[in-house]
Amino acid sequence: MDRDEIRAKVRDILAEVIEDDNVEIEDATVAEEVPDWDSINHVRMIVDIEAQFGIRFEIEEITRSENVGDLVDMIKAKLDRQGA
Amino acid sequence: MFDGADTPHLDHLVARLIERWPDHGDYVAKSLAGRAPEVVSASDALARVILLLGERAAAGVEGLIDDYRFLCEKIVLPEELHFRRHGRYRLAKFEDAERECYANPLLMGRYMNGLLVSEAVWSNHAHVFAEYLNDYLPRLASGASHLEIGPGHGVFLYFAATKPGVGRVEGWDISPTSIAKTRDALQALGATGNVELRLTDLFAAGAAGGARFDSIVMSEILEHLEDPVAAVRAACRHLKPGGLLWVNVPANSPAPDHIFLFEGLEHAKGIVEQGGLAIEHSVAFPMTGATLEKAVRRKLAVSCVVLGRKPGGPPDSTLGNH
Ligand SMILES: C[S@@+](CC[C@H](N)C(=O)[O-])C[C@H]1O[C@@H](n2cnc3c(N)ncnc32)[C@H](O)[C@@H]1O
Repeated sequence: MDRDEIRAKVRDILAEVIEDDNVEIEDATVAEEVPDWDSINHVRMIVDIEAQFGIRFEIEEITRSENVGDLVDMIKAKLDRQGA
Repeated sequence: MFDGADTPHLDHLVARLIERWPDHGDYVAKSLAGRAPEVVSASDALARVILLLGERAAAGVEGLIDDYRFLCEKIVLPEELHFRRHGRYRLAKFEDAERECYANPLLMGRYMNGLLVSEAVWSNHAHVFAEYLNDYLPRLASGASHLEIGPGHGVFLYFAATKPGVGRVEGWDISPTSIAKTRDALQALGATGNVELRLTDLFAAGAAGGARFDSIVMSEILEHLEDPVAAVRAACRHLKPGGLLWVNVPANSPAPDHIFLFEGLEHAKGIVEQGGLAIEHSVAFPMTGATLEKAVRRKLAVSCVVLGRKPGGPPDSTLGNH
């Protein structure tokens, strides 16, 4: 799966979690810019990402990602490691 | 800061908090935005006490703020992750919660400090505190005897102990850290006169002394117990006929020492009823940033306040008629 596909899937998950079908994100987007992307919704989004991509995050990784691009890279690295 | 309201202590606490933890600013703004004037003034009264306690502590107000951040990021967040992954709390046994928290002074001290700050900052906690101050305490008749089980940081107990005309006041807690914190808080705030503190498990407290309280508060404790109905019954034994039990319990709210999952207000009311009390009043407050409807639908944290009355009071009892 390439970065664009991952980002698109992350967008859909975020849209579902914050209940905003029109939300748009790019690599530089940070949570603070998106209404309702608060810490609890972040945790809920991470758990949905885990389920949908079949990966697992460490607790430190959850707070580490600075922006959407970091998150996408982290997901990609995990998928690559699994040989997906 | 708030339209027309004079809230110097809350403004000051919030300013110190955001200065120390700038990234928390949006959250705090969101939490403060929806508060009615009587809630804001209760938060201000609480902020005054938090600042006083912080200024007397070795690590100062900043130390309390750091403990609050530690609560959010290091204590609650990992539990939130577990809860969202598995749909249940991590621990289910009282002895595990006791070992990890109540009997762990280092963690428990920071936890209770953080919780204290959260009472003014988290929307659900601030509304619960306002409910306690503005709705519950005024129900206590002059001379009413009052017990809090699980006072933790001690600040709910402080406001009961300093209510004009209140009778004797007791606090029981199983954690040596909580008893010490409550004692220190009361001492620092000059409110020790009518208060007796006891290091005891609620279930071990026995019925000695009989039913001698007009009022019992159990705030954020039922979710810490394996059998909350038994806990309500145990508390009820110490309540006079016609006496009031004020319960505050969070639903869908993970923490290292939360072992019983409350699912919402109806669940909490059912438990208080099964414990033998008649429900007099109940209200639910959603976590910061959510409406009640959304919080219920998404299983987000909701604080549930349930006021029960022990049957059998004298017909002319004035307690509770305000
Ligand atoms: C989360 S704190 C609540 C503090 C405060 N009442 C509030 O609402 O913010 C829970 C307190 O209940 C105490 N506790 C837990 N189980 C108990 C038991 N079985 N008997 C007495 N106290 C208990 C804990 O030690 C802790 O101080």
